[in-house]
Amino acid sequence: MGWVTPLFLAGLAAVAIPVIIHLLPNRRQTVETLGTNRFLRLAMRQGRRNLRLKNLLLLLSRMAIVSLLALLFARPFLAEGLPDAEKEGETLVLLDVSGSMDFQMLDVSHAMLAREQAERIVDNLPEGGKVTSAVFGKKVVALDDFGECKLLPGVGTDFAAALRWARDRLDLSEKPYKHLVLVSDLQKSGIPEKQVETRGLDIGVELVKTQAYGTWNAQVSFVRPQTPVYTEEKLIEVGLTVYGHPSEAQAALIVSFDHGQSMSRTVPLETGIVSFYLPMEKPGMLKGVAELEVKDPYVTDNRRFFAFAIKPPVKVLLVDGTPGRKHYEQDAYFLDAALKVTKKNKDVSPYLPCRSRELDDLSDTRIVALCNVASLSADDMEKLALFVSSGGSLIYFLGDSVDVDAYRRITAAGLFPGSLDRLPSGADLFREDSPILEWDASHRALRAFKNRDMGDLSRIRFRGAFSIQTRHKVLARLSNREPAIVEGALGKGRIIVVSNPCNRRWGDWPQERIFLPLIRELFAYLVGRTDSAGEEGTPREVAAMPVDLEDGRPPGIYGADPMVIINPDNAEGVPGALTEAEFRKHFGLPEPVIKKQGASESEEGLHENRERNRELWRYLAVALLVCLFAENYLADRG
Amino acid sequence: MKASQNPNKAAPAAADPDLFMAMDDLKLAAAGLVEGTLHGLHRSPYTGISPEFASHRSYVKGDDLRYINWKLWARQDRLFVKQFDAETNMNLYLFMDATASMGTAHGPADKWRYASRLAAGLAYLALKQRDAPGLCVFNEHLSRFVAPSVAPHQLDMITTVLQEAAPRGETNLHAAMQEALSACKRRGLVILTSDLFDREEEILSGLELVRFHGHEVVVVQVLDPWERKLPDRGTYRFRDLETGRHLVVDVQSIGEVYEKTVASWQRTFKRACEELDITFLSCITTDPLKDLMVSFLSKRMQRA
Repeated sequence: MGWVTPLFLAGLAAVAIPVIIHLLPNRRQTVETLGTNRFLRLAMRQGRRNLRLKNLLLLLSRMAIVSLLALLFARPFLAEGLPDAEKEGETLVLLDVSGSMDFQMLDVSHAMLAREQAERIVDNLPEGGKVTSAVFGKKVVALDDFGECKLLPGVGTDFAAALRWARDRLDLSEKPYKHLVLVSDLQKSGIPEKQVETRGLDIGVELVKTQAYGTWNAQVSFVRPQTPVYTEEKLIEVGLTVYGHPSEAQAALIVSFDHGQSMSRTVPLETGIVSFYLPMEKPGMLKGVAELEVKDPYVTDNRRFFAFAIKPPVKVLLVDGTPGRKHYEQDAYFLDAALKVTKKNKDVSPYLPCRSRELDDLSDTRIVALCNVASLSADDMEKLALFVSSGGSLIYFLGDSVDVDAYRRITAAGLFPGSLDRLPSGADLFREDSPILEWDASHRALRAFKNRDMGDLSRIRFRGAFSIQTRHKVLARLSNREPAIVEGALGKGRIIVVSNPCNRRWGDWPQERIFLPLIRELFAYLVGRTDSAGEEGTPREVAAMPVDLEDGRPPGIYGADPMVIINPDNAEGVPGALTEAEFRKHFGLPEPVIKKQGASESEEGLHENRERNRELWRYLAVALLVCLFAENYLADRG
Repeated sequence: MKASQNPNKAAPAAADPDLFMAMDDLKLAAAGLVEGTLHGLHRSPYTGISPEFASHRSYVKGDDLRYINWKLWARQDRLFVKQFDAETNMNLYLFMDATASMGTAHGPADKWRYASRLAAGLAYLALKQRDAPGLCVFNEHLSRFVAPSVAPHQLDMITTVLQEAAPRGETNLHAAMQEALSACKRRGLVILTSDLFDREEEILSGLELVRFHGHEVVVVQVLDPWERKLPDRGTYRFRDLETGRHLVVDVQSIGEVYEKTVASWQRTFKRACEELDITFLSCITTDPLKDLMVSFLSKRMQRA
């Protein structure tokens, strides 16, 4: 049994008061006269036994009243924390094995100390109850005992997932008493941004708060190439993040590559990006590790593995169907400019557009763009068919030069996904501009335009377009229901048709801001986006994942196809921990009901203004009322 | 009767039990008590001891119609009532217990004051009926004796003795009655007014002795209200007025038992008196004297 306010137990000393009063002689006596005391003596003699019994009961009832009052204010409750053999309870002991738990304390691993602490908690639990041990980071892994626990550096934290797992586990338990012990540093980064539903957490939750690693930390937060496109001198960017006030001003940053090369620099310990220039002879995979040599409390995130494929730019052949006298009048002009645009200076476009009037050698080409090309010769069609079937991509921009009859032959060759039915004359354009009304935002080519805030394709208005009859997939339609963008396929390659030229003769859409991202998305789709599954014919990708308890692999580079990069969770590098009260408040955890056994390092604070489960004050109040009635009855009865 | 010292004080009503207690003049109190009592009755309450016919006398208003000689009326056209031996000069012996226990006062007056007013009233009534009242006042022994007489100053003598007496001494009713009997030459009606706080066998043997001497006996027990029923609550140190001993009592704890004990004792006494052909009356000092007189007279009428 426990007491919420044990100080009131001192009131039990007041039980002596009725005893003293009972023993004290009654001094308040009024003197009266009677003719004889004979009958008084007779009455007293007769009622002596009853009188004694009545006085005794009266004394006992008064003592009981005082006792019950003291007990009532002391607020006793039945312990429902750690179950004992008689109670048959179930206890879950969850050990936090996230990265923030792994730091050195006087040359001893804190994670090891925490694990030993959890083992002691389990050992000190009374026999008879059921105990389940588990470790958690982002996920929860149950163990037979904590000795099996393998500490993985850099695991992230998700308290909500741990608490949900515990709740679900205990909901399934048939034990009458359930208890959860959470051994953790209560790092703030483990708190989800949004409030997490903690329904059902009405069991006793005992928090064993371990020491946090400190108030400052420096980490290598990312390593990336400035651009994945090959250049002879590759710019590698290493991101540093520093929290708090470091004890050192600078440190050495070393980037080591698997091919043996390494670069180092002394950098100030402050948040920022450090650039390294790496000469590259040819495109290929760059793998390695960036390491910050600094003695900070949490060293796991001082290293970061990286692997990225440096690829040559994609060669795009732009076949201009109607080269004009001025360059900006050429059909491929705007397309060429869109493909060459880079985000920053010194950045390299992933595309290498080449303008031509003829279908040149397509051996190094990935995409062929036919810009208002009137027709194709049989040789060209044969060449293109082989190109596309082998995995190349083809995109049409239809314009006023297009020969509808010639395109029927192209359709028959499978190089055009549909048939053209109408050729509007230069003067016979749409009565009014027809915007793109609907588009398939689930398609990978148009996923970027899912949200109109990110890109509104309806800003693209065609003054004229071809009418395409097709059974192939229509990616976008105009307001007059005519297809604006159609997708087809031939062998391993993809074909896209845009029913409008990429010039300003049939609309001003090349000058719309949406033009550039649309062109880049269409061409990126044609090249093949990053896909973890990896499509045949697409460049190999690298899968990045955090350290995972179930996976069990520490940070490093694994595999080749696909290659997996495992790095520590950056959030573990953010110092700062919650107090127990803050943690309880965030997750709405009930207060503990007993002083826990075993883990002597921390003491649960009891909040007097909150009722415990299984408090006994109601029963004491009823007993007090009964005693008051009894005392009143005995006192009045005479 | 001495007038109330405070003229502003409202005069008590005739039915107020405190009325006769407040009167210092016993004669006046007695007269008022008797006249007030008789006024409420519709026939003369007088009855003699013996029914032996002695002579006739002229009818006076209030005489019992049962004693009218109708034959004589028929013959002489005048009303005559029969007189019996006891009709004239019946001796009324007022035995008054003036022991210390009669000094208990939790009502309008102590028991002695109450008893003395009753005695005065009975004396007045007796004289009115041409009986001869006498008085025996005893403490541990017979302290004062007034021989029965119908003399005009007899009431004065009786009331004077009653006013001069004060409760004192321990009760020894048997010895006192024995001593009083020696002074009572002629048979009569003995009215013992006492709280009867003596050993029962002693009292009954004394009464038996009185009966043996041929007297008719009426016992009027006068108790203090607390002597019949204790207050509801409180702790008291009760002093026995005769022995002087103290007893501390929490009345709440024994009140019910005490009341039952007293009632049982009274019933026992009453049964014993009935066996001796003694009329037993019991009252407390808060009972109206007039009611007691009526009760007494009713008993007398029933007996007759």
